Amino acid sequence: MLLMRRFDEAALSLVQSGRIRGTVHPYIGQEGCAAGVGAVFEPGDLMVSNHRGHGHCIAAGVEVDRMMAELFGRAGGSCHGMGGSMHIADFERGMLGANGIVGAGVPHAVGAALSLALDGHDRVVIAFFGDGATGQGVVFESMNLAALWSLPVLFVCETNGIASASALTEVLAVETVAEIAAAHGIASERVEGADVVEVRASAQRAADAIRSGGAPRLIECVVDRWGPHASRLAAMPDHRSAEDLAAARRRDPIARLREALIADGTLASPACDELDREAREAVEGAIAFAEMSPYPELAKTSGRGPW
Amino acid sequence: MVSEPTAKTMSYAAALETVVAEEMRQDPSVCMLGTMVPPALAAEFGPRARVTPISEPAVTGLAVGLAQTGKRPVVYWRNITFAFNAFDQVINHAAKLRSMSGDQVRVPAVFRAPCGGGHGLAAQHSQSPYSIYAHIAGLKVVVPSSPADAAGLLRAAIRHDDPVVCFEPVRLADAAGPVPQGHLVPLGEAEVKREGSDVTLVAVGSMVPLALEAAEELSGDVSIEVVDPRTVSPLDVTTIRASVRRTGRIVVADEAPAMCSVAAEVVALVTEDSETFSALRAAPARVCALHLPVPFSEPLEEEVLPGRDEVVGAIRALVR
Ligand SMILES: Cc1ncc(C[n+]2csc(CCOP(=O)(O)OP(=O)(O)O)c2C)c(N)n1
Repeated sequence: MLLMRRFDEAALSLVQSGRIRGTVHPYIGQEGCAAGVGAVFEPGDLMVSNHRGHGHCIAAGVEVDRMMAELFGRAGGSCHGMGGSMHIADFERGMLGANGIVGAGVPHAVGAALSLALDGHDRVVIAFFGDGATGQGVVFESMNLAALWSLPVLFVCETNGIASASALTEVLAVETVAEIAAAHGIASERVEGADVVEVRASAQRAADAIRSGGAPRLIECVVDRWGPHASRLAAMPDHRSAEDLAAARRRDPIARLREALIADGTLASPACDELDREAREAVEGAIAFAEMSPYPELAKTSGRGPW
Repeated sequence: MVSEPTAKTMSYAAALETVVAEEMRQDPSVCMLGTMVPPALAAEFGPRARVTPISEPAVTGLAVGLAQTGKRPVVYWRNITFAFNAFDQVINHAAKLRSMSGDQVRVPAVFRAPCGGGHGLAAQHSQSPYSIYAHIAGLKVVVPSSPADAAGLLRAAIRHDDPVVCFEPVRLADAAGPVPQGHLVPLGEAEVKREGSDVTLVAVGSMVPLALEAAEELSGDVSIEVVDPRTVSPLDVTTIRASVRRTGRIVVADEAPAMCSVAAEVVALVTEDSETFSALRAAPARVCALHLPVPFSEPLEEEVLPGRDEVVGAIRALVR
């Protein structure tokens, strides 16, 4: 969670100061979800992400050096600079790709799960998507197919209650995404995303059930996004009052875990600070790595076809 | 096409179906998805040949996920019409994942798209929009015109490591012809279907048999070379230019409307090459559909879509 937080704080300031181009969608505030779900991600499992994907990538084990180099558009990036923030993929880590089209990665996860099922593996494919993706028909179609064919997909909806310029209550006719899963016969749990321990437990139950017999599951992680929707759109109205935002910050998954660990004696406060320092150093190292990395050459990539 | 001893005569539709079965048999990673799966395939291949709900965006997206994880899915869209629903998955995902991922992954998916008019199915079901797909970098597009090419190109498409859209003009479905065993037609290679010296007639898909008939009809007066690109992206510009340099004239016949079409691209590729351009003895001509939604009414459908007579007329006008 600390690495996710420090990575996205850095990414946001890098793009805002013009050191990197394009846009990033910061995951700040939502880390409990990727960290909790990522904790049950095993070698051989696969993951599909969305536009807010840095935390998911870190949870899958993608190296921050290669992620940062990707944000810098450098050859050392996990996609050799061809994809950038919204398309980070690392097939060696089972990370099939972040995605710039809302909802579109969900059928890829179901296809990957069909692939695993055809080969008889007891692997799980995790499909991260936001509550806003419930407006996309392809997400419903994908749930139907996964349920119909009992495919090993763990759907993870990160319900932050807001989709770029709209509040979920403005755009969804039902109250919870879990209801949508229920309509497709998919068992689900709704968890507080700020409680990483609970997210992890829920993900473990779901993954165990999937590994031992197939049928897909859904976890609806109720999370808070504190940062802007995207670095480019920092001034976008976000429907939340100052009080709501302050309350969201008080539900910080990192502070909550830190307090719990100190309270039960697992970690002392200096040890927590030390972990944070390591995360910051890793991100600084990643920026240095990225800046040292050369720009890619088009001739060496499929960017030059021939098609 | 010379019929080889091992060739079997079969219809265009049967050739396509046979190739899917043969490829599924020899490569366990080949699988098929579609709202209509031939019962024989389903019986033989079980879970690898799946009947799907009418969910084109999801099924097309599933193919992307399958392809990313080592499978070779063949999606049978049933009609190009239904694939418009799934544009996002083809254009934003299948076509781009290889490049965006920095070559970490290939997407060896095949999308089979029956297309074109001739059956009175009216505007929504009578379309030949291969140029829309050819416009997209990252996709390859084939339009076979005979049972042998259908078998050979589809086999090559299934074995190819990047996504291929296979357009199958419905007018050709019952056309019968020899199909050599294991026939393979490399992607990107045009074929000279008939040699000639006065006019190069480039014909696409369903226009190829009509072009051959037109060439026969005019054979006393005009010597026509019929060139079938077979793959419209990438186009085999070398074969087309070489033919035009020999004949000095070009007519392009395509069932799609001329606007932003493959026919337009062929003319551009011919005229922008100075050597080929200077060999031209007449302005290039296109025989295409009218720029209209295809009407239901039979005489109107015939009027909108090009036929043999229009090809003959265009060639007569050119050599006058
Ligand atoms: C198909 C599509 N429509 C619109 C957009 C623009 N867009 C990007 S992110 C976003 C909001 C998505 O909300 P949600 O899925 O809930 O994720 P969140 O941003 O809240 O994490 C929108 C509308 C897009 N990328 N894709």
